[in-house]
Amino acid sequence: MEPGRGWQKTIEKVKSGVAEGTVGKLQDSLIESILCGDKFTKLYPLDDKGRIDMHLWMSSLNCSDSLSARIFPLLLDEGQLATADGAFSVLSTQSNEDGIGVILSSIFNMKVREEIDFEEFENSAEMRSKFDEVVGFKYRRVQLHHVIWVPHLRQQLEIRVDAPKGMPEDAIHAHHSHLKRMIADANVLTLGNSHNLFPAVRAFYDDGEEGDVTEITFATTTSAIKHEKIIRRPSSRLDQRLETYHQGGKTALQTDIRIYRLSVEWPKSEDNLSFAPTLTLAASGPAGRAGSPDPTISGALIGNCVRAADYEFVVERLGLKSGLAA
Amino acid sequence: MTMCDLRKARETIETAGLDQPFLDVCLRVTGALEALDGDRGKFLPLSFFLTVVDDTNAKVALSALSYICTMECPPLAAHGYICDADEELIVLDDEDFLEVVKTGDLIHPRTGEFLQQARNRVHIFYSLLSL
Repeated sequence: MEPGRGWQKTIEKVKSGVAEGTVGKLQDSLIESILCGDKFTKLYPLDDKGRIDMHLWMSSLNCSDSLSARIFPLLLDEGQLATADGAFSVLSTQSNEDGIGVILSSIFNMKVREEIDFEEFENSAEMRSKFDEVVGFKYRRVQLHHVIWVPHLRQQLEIRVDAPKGMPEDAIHAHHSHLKRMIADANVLTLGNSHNLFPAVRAFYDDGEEGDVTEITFATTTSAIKHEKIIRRPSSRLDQRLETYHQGGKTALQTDIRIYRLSVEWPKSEDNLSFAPTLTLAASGPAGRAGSPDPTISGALIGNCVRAADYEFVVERLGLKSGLAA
Repeated sequence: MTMCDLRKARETIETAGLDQPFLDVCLRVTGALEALDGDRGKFLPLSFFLTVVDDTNAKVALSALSYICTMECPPLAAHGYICDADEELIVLDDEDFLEVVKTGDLIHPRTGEFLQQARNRVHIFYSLLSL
């Protein structure tokens, strides 16, 4: 089924008649999106015993008696979101050729910035004379889907926190802590620190064959922090590593740049559809704490993954560049 | 598009019988494009052209750019971007950009939201067609 132009038209088109046999496929795609959509993923060491223990624990979990669990894989609509309990609830255990995982849901109050039209004020002319723009903030309840995932072939347990655009970093880490505690409370596995992914930053940057770098933040020995981001049209491919200003700036320095934040994208197309899974690795600064030369990156933002295959591709590249055991 | 194509565009402009100051602005814009080398013509905001045309007002510059973008074998193309709530710059698909210019309607590229009368949310930039 071809989508309509924009969400409203797509929804109208679907409502006007769903072709036989498409509902199951749509639900499968939705589950794939829930498992792999925009996630902030932390990787934890996992040995063979830990893998078996996790499998046993996941297979023993019961789904919560919540509305989110009852309607899974469907999502809560606006009315249901307004009244639903925001606590974490277990929705489903899923397995596929890549691994086995548990899907959990929670509700988060997302702060949204919205421009207010002058006409909405009684004294609109006066407001217009005082301000060029009036902006308001409101809280929007959004349903999040998190995943605890045990891959069949990799040696890392994954905790994937839903990270839609606008989700604050501290909230992402808080959600992670909750999921990590859930595993600890069940006495399944002792999870220490997640793998440090910082080594992958330079490895991705130095490998010109590895996707397109779309954003870099780095420090220079001339006492500057540079944030460079490529502007490009959706259909074109550009790489920040090769951009003239970036190359020229590097040449002018006699010392190397110190990259601590980087986004990579792998554009591909199949069956006339375009996919561009992305990976963002971000440290808070160019150096570590307490005299440590390198910063720590505890997790990666893996986005734009429409299919599980896209997510698997990115996480495999990440493992490789971070020097993690396959 | 090569430097040769830009020369061809210049010839077309010179022989099109355009009035002054429009002709002068078109030629200055073409000259500025000829001076760009490497990948330096991928993102050319209106401000870039306004520095090139000196005292000429923005309206004439915009008309000249529209003319150059729509002439036969144009050397330049117009594109658009919007800024989202976090001030992030999102470049529009050319198809979506043309739609918003024609009708004012825009499908937000990230949210899929249908926005009416969205023309004033769109910022224009240009790029050399060779890049």
